[in-house]
Amino acid sequence: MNPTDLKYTTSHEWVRISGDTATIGITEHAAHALSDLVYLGLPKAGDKVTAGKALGEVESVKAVSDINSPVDGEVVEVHDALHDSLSDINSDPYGKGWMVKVKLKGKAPASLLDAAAYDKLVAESA
Amino acid sequence: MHYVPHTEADKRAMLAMIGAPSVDALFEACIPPDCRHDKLLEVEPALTEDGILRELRTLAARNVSAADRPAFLGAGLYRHFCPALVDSLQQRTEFWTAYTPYQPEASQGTLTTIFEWQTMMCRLTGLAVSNASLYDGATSMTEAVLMALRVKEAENRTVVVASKGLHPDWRGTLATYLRTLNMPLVEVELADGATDPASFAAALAARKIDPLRVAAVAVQTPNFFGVIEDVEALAEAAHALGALCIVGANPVALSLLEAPGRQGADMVCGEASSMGNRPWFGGPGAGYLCSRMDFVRQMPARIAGETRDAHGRRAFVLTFATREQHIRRAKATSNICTSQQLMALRATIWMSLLGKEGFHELGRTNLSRAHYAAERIKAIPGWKLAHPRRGFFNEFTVTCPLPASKVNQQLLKKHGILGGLDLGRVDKALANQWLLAVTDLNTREEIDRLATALETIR
Repeated sequence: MNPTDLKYTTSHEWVRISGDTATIGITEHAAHALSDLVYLGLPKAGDKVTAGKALGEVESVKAVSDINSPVDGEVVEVHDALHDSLSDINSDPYGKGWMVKVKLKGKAPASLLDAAAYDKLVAESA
Repeated sequence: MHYVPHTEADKRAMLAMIGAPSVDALFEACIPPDCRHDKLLEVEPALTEDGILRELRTLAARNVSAADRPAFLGAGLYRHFCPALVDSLQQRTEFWTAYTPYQPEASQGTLTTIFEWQTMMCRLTGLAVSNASLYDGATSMTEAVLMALRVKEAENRTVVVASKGLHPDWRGTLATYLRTLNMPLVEVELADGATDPASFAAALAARKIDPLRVAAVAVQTPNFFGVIEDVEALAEAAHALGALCIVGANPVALSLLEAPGRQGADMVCGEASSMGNRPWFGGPGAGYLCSRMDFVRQMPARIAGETRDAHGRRAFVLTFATREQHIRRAKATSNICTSQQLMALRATIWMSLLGKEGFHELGRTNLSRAHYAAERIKAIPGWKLAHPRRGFFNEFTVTCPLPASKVNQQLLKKHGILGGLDLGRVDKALANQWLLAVTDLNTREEIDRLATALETIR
């Protein structure tokens, strides 16, 4: 079960919206599917991000995947310490595994999934 | 068994489907009469196996092999002594794996060799990371440039500055790629055979290009004309533009020259098949590519790494292959998805057999023989070195008193000597210039024979 206070994308990112700040990471399902992570490419503070477009990339021993932004906005904080503790993305994807904080531009897209819808998506793809 | 995949029943069914009465009728209906050849081909009657061997031996005997007579042709591919042990070790069953060693449990031989190759290339170039090899020198230079463009993408730098001292084939390959990518290529003229670090600004200004748009500066040492470039000064000039410095280098010359990575080069690449391989018929080659570690994610092709197996034993795996196009095409850094494994294997065995001292010794032999040849040639009236102020390793350009094509013809016909490269083939203005390679396989006797022959050529 994924946390109910988060929103999700169909490309397996999560977002926690608090006021006008969105904290973004990848879901437990995504981290598990990628297996051991070896590299994380993140944007810089000040970079603009667009919903549905790549904001960074994550590389596992198997493949490289884009991390798509769930929202429009501007990066205000980057979790740079994560580069040295990539296993946090696997072990604590919704906590220590957060990647960037974005100052929202406008509202979060209505197409974001709630936990129940995302659980269903993951169950169906299994 | 025969190799025609269709049975008579297959053919009947296909003909029935398209409504043709017979294969002949189909061809007659489709192919105009003047394009058809109705008679039997006029070929000799079939030979026996022995007869074919006899015929092929006769044809092969008409070839002139570089091993049979003095040969001074290099221009990118150099003959060096290659012990028979290389041919022998190459055939060990540890290396009999499919060319892509995805399965470490089945490919420790190949993976170990790739790791050794990478280690040796890093030591030769003075850089932190090497890939498992690329097709050849030309593609290695192009891939290095594309890699630099990816590194500099965020800075919106899309221009490449390249020295005209790059091998013409490398220049051609690079120009083809950059043209299709719409990335400007600015070529810099040589000054007395060498790239002038002060010339970049003028070359950019002539094309009205902002120096802040330059992603990479590409040079080669020794360059195509044999001249050893001042890598330190060139790297400094590249970095002053905010660009990366890519150096193409003959790895055998690195036996004596300072490692370009320690002179400021950000990437070093080139043709490695002169190590442990023979010039064959001009290929196959083996490209190499080394880089600073911080650009590794942009490196094309694959890298083998060291790890521990389930029992804690030292083992090797493909540690970096995620950006090859068969994994996820949209994320691929290159359409090159392979390594030139057999050639790189031979180069690795060759380097191991020579060892550090042997490799230095080979370099010194090349240097001293080439310099002896240059001394002999420039002492002949009418013959001189094209760039007497420049340093060279095992190749140098000679200015002849007549077209180099004529020199080569006379040497071959009258003296049984294979000459150097007629540079008129590269640039008509250089018709009297002759690129001569002298390696450890050219004995002092051969060099004397060449000099004596040149004295008679007018």
